[in-house]
Amino acid sequence: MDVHFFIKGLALYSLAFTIVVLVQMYALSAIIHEVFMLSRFPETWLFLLLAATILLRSALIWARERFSHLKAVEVKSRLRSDLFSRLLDAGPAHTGKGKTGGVVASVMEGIEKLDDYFTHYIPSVIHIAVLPFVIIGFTLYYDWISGLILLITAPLILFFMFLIGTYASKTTQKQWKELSNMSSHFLDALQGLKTLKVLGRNKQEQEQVWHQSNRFREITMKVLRVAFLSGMVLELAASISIALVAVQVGIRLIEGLMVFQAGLFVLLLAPEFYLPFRTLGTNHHAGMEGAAAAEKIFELKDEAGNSEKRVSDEFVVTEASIKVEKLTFRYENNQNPAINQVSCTLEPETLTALVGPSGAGKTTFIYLLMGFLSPESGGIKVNDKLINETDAETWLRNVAYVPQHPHFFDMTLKENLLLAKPEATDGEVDQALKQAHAYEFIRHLPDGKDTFLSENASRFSGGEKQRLALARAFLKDAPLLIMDEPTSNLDPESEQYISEATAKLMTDRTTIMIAHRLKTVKQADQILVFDDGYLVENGNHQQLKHQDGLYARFLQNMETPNNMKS
Amino acid sequence: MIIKVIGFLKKYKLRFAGAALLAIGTVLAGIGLMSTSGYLISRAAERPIITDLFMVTAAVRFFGISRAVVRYAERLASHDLTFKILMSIRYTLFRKIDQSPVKQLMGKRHGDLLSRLVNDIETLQNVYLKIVSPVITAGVVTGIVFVLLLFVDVVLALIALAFLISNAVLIPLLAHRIAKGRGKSEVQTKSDLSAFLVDRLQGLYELFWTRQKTSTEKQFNGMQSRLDQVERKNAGATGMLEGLNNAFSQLAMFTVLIFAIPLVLNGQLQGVMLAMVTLGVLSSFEAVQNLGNAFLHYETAEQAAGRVFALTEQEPDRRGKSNMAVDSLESIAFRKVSFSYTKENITLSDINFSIPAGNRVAVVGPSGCGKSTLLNLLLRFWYPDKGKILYGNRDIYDLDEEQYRKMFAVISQDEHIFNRTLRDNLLLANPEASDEQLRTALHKAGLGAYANQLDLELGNFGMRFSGGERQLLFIARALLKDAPIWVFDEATAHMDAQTEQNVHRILEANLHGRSLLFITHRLIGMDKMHQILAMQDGKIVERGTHKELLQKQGLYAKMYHLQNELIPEA
Repeated sequence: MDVHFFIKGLALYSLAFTIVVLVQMYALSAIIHEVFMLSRFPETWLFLLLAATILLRSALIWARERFSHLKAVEVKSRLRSDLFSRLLDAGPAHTGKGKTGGVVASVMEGIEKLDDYFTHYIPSVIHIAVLPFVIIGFTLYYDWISGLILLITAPLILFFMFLIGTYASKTTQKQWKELSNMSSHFLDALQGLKTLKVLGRNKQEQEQVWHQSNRFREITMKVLRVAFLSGMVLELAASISIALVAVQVGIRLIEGLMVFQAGLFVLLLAPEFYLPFRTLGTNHHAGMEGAAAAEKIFELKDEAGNSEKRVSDEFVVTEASIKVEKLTFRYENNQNPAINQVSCTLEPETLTALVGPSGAGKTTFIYLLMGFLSPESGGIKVNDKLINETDAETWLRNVAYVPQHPHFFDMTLKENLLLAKPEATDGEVDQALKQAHAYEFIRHLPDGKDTFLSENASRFSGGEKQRLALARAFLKDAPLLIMDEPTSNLDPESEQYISEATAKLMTDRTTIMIAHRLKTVKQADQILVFDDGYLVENGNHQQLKHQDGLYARFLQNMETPNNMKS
Repeated sequence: MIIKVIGFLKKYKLRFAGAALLAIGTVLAGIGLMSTSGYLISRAAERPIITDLFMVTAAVRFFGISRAVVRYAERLASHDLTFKILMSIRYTLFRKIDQSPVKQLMGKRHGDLLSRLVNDIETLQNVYLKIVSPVITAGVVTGIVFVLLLFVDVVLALIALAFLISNAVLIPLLAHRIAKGRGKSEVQTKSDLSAFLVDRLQGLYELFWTRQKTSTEKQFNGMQSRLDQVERKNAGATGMLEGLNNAFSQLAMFTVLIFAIPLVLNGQLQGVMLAMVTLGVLSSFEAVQNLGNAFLHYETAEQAAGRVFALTEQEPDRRGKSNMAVDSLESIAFRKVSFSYTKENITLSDINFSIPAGNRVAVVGPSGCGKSTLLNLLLRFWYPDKGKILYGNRDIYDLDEEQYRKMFAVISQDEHIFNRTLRDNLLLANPEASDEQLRTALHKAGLGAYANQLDLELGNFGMRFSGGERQLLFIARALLKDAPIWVFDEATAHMDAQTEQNVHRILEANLHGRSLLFITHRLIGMDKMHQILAMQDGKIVERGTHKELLQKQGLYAKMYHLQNELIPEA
C-alpha cells in the first residue's frame, strides 16, 4: 500500500461519498416534497433509497477511518524500523551515547504526531479537492444560480483561510517559544525545590508558581484568541453563504420561479458543501505538527546517513601484528583531524597503553581500531589486509571491549553476559564470572544470574559493573582486548579485584588500554602518547621517562598530586 | 480521581456556568439554524407575501451569526476556565510538595518523575474540554430537544429521545472498551518499544563489539509488529465509532420522518413543520457525538489525575515539636544516628561525630558508603530512624525549620541552577542584595568574568555553565547568603585537577571561621581538616587528621595511594 494508492483510495472514497450525499439529499427532499406539497405518501423506493444511502454513508465513513488509521499504523511502523536500522548502521561513534537517546525519544513522540496527519489532515485535504467540485458541477447544472453562489463563495473562503492561516501561524510561532519556556518553568521550580528550601525561598516560590501559571494562561489565551478568531471567521463565512443560498431560494420560491423540492435539495446540499472547509480549518494544526515532525525525523535519518557495505573477510589476529599506517580521521564539521597521520605497530600478545590529555584522540583511536569509524586516509592492517575494507561485524569477532562506563541492557544478567557468546554454556558463564571476581556477589543475589537488570544495572556499584564487564570480555575470549581503564570512585577492595581480573584477562592477548594508572603504564610493552591528534611519543616507561616530553611532564605532575600541601 | 479535578471547578462557579451555557448555546444555535432554514423554505413554498417571512429570515440570520459568535465565545471561555483550573492544580501541588517530606522526591529518577508530573497536569487539560463539557452539553441539549418536540408530537419526541440516549450511552461504552484495550496493550507496548530503543542505543558500543546488531534489529521488528497488531485492531474500532455516530443521527432523522409523514397527511402536523422537525432532529445529534471521544480520553486522564493527586495526599511533615529560634553558629553533633532508605539495606548505622563551631570536618569514602545521606539528615530532608542530631545542645527538630536552614550553605552536584538570569539565580540567596554586592560575590567566588553579565540566561535555555563554574556559582550564592556553616557534597567530582584546586583555593580564601563539612571521595586539601571521617558501608571506620590516618595504613591510606596512582590528564 504505497502513498499513491492511499491518495487514490481517499479520492475514490470522497467521490463515492459525494455521490451518496447527492442521492441522499435528493431522496430526502423528494420525500418531504411529496408529503408537504403533494400531500401524498411517497413511494416506497424513495424510502429504500434514503435508508440505503444512510447505511452506505455510515459504512463509507467507517471504511475511510479504518483505511486511514491503518495507513497511519503502517507508515509509523515503517518509519520507526527505518530510523532504527539507520541509527544502527551509522554505528556507535555517530549515534553516540546519551544525546541520541533523548533525540530518539522525542522523535518517537514525533512519529506519533503523524497519526493525526494521516487520519485527519490528508483525508480532509483530499476531500476538499473532490467534494466541492462535484457538488458545484452538479448544482450548476441543476440550479445554476445556487451553483454560482457556491462557486463564488468557495474560493473566497479558501482565500480567507489562507490569509488568517498565515497570520495566525506567524503570531503562534512567535508566542510558542515563550509558551514552552513557561511550562518548563514549573518543572524547573519542582526540580530545584531542595535548593530553594536550603536558600529559604520556597514560600516565595509558591507565589512565583502562581504568577508564572497566570502568565502562562494569559499568553496561551492570546494565542488561542487568534486561532479561534480564524475559526469564527470561517464559520461566519460558511453561515452567511448558507443563508445566501437559503434567502435566494426562498425568494424564488415565493416568486414561483422554482419548485420546492429543488429548493430544499439545494439547501440540504449547502451545509455538506461547506463542511469540508471547516474540517480542514480544524485539522490545519495537525497538518502543521505532522509536517514539522516529519521534517525532524528525516533530518535525523539523513544525519545517520548510509553506511558503506563491505565484504566480509575472515581475520585472524592471533600471532599477527596490527599495523597502523598514517591513520588520519576527522569528525564531520571539524577542521582539525582528531587523529593525524598516526603510525605504529601492535605486536601480538603485548600491552599497549594510550596516554594523553583528554581530547587528544585516544578514544577516537580505539574507535577506529574497532571499526566504529572509517579513516579519512591511511589504515589499519592485519596480515596485510585493511580492516576497514571488511564488514565491521566480521572484524569484531576478534575484539573484546571493556569501556569505562559499561552499559547493561534491560535483560537478565545472564542474557547480558551471553551477548558476548550466545552459545556459551552455564558452566562457561560461571567460569567467566569467577575469573572476573564477580561470581561471589552474583551468587548472593536472590535470583542469581537470572536477576533482571534495569536502568543500566543501577543496582550494582561502579566496581561491580566493571567486574561484570570483565566477565563479558572473559566469555568472549577474543584475541584482541580493548580497554578503557576505570579512573575514579572505586573502593580499594573492588580495585584489588579488578586489577587481578584485568591482569588475568590480558594474558596471551593483544591489549590496547587507555591507561589512567601509573602501575599500568609501567608494565606496558609500549606507550603511545597522544596530543592534539598526533602520536607524539612512542616507547616504554623507561625510554619515555628520560625524554623531555609530554610523558615526562605527566610524571612530574604526579610527584605533587596534592598541591594543597603548602 | 477525575472527580478531584472537577472539584477545582467549584472555585470558578461563574466561569464554569458561563462556559457550560455557551457550549449548550452553540449546539442550540446549530439546531436553530437548520430547523428555521427548513421552515423558511417550506413557508416560502406556500408563496405567502414576502413580509410574512421577515420574522423567519431574521431568525435564520440570527442563528447563523450567533452560532459562529457563540462558539467563539465558548471556546474562549472553556479554555480560559481550563487554564485557571490547571493554574490552581499546579499551585496546590507545588505547595503540597513543598510541605511534604522531601524523601518522596529524592529518588533516583526524581527528574523523570517530575517531568512526568508536568505532563500529567497538561493531560488534565482534557478533563473539562473533552469530558465534563461534552457530558453536560449532551444531557441538557437532549432534555431541551425532547421538551421542544413534545410541543410538536409526543411520539416524535420519544423517538428522538430514544436515539439520542442510545447514541449517548452505546458509543461511549464502545469507546471505553477501545480505550481499555489501549490502556492495557497499546500504551504498554509503546512504552516498551521506546524503552527498548533508548536502552539499546545507549549501549550501542556493547551491541557492536558483541555483534548483536542483526539480532537487535530482529527483536525490534518483532516488538514493532506486536504494536502494529494492537494498533490495527484499534483502527478498526475507531472507524466503527465514527461510522456508528453517523448512523445514529441519520437513522433517527429517518425514523422521525417516517412517523411524521402520516401525521402530516392526516393533518395532525402542519406540513411546514416537516422539514423543520427533520432537520432539527438531525442537527441535535451534534450534542452527543463528542461523547465517544470523551471516553477515549477518560482512561488517560484518570491515570494522570491519579498520579498528580497521589502527591497532594501526602501528609505534611510535622515532626518538629517546637519552633525554637536559631540565629548563630553553634556546634553540630550526630548522636548514634542510624538511617535506611529501604527496609532491606541499612544506609547509615550508629554514626557519631561532631563539628565544633568553626571547625572543618571531612567525610570521605568510596561512593555508595552513605556520605551524602549525612547531608540530607543534617538539613532535615530526612528523619533519622534512630539517634538524633544536635545543634548546640538542642535537637534540630526542636528548631524553627526555616531559621535552622538559614545557617547552611550547600555546594554540591545536586544543587539546582534555575532557568533564569544569573542575577535571579544569585538573588535567591539574598533577595535584598544590590547588583554591586552580586558582583563582589562573583569576584570572590572566582567568577569575575561574569560580573558584568548579570542578565545572562542560565540553565537549559541560556548558556550552560561548566561543572566547575556551577560549583563556583554555588559558592557565590553561599557568600551572598552569608551562612555560618558551609557544606560541600562531592562538589569537586568530575572536575579536572586544575579546576579542583581552584575551588579549594577559593574555599580557603572565603571560609573565615565558618564551620565546614566537606564530603568527598577526592582526597585533596585534607591536611587542612581538623578531623577526617572515613566511611565504608554506612559506618565510620576511621577518624583522625590526615597525618594520623596515613600512618594507620587503613582504608584512608589505601584510598590516598590509589588516587595518587592516577596519571593527571591535564
